Amino acid sequence: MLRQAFLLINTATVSGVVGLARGDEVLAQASLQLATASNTVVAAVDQVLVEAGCTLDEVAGIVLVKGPGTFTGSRVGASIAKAIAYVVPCSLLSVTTLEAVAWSGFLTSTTQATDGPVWALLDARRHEFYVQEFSVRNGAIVSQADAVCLGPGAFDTVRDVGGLATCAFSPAAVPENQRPHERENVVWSFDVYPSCAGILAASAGARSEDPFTLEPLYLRSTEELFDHPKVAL
Amino acid sequence: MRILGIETSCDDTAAAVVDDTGLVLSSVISSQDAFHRKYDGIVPEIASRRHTATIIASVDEALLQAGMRIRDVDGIAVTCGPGLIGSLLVGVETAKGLAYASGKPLIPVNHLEGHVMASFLRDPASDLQPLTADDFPLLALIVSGGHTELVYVDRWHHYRVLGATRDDAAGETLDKFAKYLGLGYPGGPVVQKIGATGDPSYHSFPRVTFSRGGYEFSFSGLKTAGINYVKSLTSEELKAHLPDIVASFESAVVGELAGKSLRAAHNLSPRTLTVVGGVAANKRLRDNFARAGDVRVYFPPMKYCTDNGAMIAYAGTRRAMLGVRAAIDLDACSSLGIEDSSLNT
Ligand SMILES: [Zn+2]
Repeated sequence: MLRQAFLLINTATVSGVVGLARGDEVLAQASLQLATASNTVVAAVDQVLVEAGCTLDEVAGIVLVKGPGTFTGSRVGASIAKAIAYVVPCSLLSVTTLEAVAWSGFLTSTTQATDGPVWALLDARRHEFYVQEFSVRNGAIVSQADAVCLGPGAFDTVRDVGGLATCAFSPAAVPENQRPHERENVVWSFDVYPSCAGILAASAGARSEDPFTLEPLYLRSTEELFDHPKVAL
Repeated sequence: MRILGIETSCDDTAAAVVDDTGLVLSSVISSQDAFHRKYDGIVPEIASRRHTATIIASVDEALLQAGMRIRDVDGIAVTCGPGLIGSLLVGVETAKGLAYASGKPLIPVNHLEGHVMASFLRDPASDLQPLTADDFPLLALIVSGGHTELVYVDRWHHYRVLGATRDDAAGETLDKFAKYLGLGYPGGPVVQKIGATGDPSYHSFPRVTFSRGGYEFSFSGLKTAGINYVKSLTSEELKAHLPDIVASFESAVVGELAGKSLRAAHNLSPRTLTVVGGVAANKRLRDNFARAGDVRVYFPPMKYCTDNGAMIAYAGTRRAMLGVRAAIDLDACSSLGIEDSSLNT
């Protein structure tokens, strides 16, 4: 049997998705509500395989959105992707949440830029945001800079350059004084979460991973988080 | 029947293969102590990250040591609770992925049942005679950094909790006392080492007694008394008598554990008393059980007292033989009690 299908998994954002694709076509997909049902991801994998009439024997690889995002969500997806890739065995590819969001927002944007800056923004909690600048070149999203974690100044950074800003959060998560206003050089697109089409498109630039060693992309080190731990005596 | 067991409830990433006689075919434990030491305690986020990083390598090594591929096992058992939720999730979701992709049955295991089942493991390298079905009914003292429970087990998978700690676990109490004294983490082994040369009667710490004569434990008062006592000393006194003070404190903790367990054994006449969990490695605790009388007291080999995959694999084997299976949407439960996992067999 030909191995041609790819399993797509995003559990790094509150709205997640599992899909099955062959070539450029998404054959089946299932959305995931990870805040309340992180235990349903394997069932969703089964569901998309059944819907597409495929078996794991036909899966050539897994494309995992490996973070940044929610820590637990990222680990759930990584654990499952690693386990399946180890057993089948099949290739394991990763894209970052920012790449997947940029692609997902770009593909659905009504004001589709043919070139120019595209931003991906994620809520990093603690009043901070993960931000990465991309640009459109020959119809593809290309990274312009490494992802960074910024405070509310993230929005100024985007406005300094302009372009399409795809945000994996709702407008309510934007600080009051940073809310979008009319006549600015940024097209804000909210509630953009990695879609199957976006993950698939991003997978053209995916990294090849080893199921023995893959870890989610956290962007926040444990040293940064815990060097002043509150361990109660 | 051979079952792969996966355990990630706390800070050890463990995988093992065990057969239905309890024979341990492999047992791999990846310790995270080095990552938590600088915080003097387990940091849940670090534990979850380490589990995710190492779990597939641990599973692969366990299969390799057992001379097997995943297709050769008859099922995959995993700890689904109790424990740290983020840590449990890594094991549970990994096991679900492995079971789904290999078409093997997934078997949910209660971590506390796993500790009890460690008493039945047969280790090729150990002379110890493990428990058998003839040893029921048994009394199990499960005592570790996370748990302190006295459980009556009249037959396989039948659990009645006689008493548990109302506050800190016994191992946690030793850890916190060691931390206060600046002795490092984990506290259990260092307390045992320093206390070994001390006089346990040097200072008498207060014992907690509950009026109804039950089997409940409480260690927070003892911990506070220990810290207050240390505070009352001059640094010269502390330095001169550190082994005595540590031995006295350790003695109070293990005396509480052994005293209640032996009283339960006297009242309920089980055939066997088994002491499991990380604190079962404590020598002073073992010595305290020397006066057990008629009841046989069993301590599993040290490596099966602390968290391990073999105990989960064997508990899984017993459950698999009864047809217990988990659904594909199995979830982890941080507060799962051992009685929640009793079966009406
Ligand atoms: Zn344990």
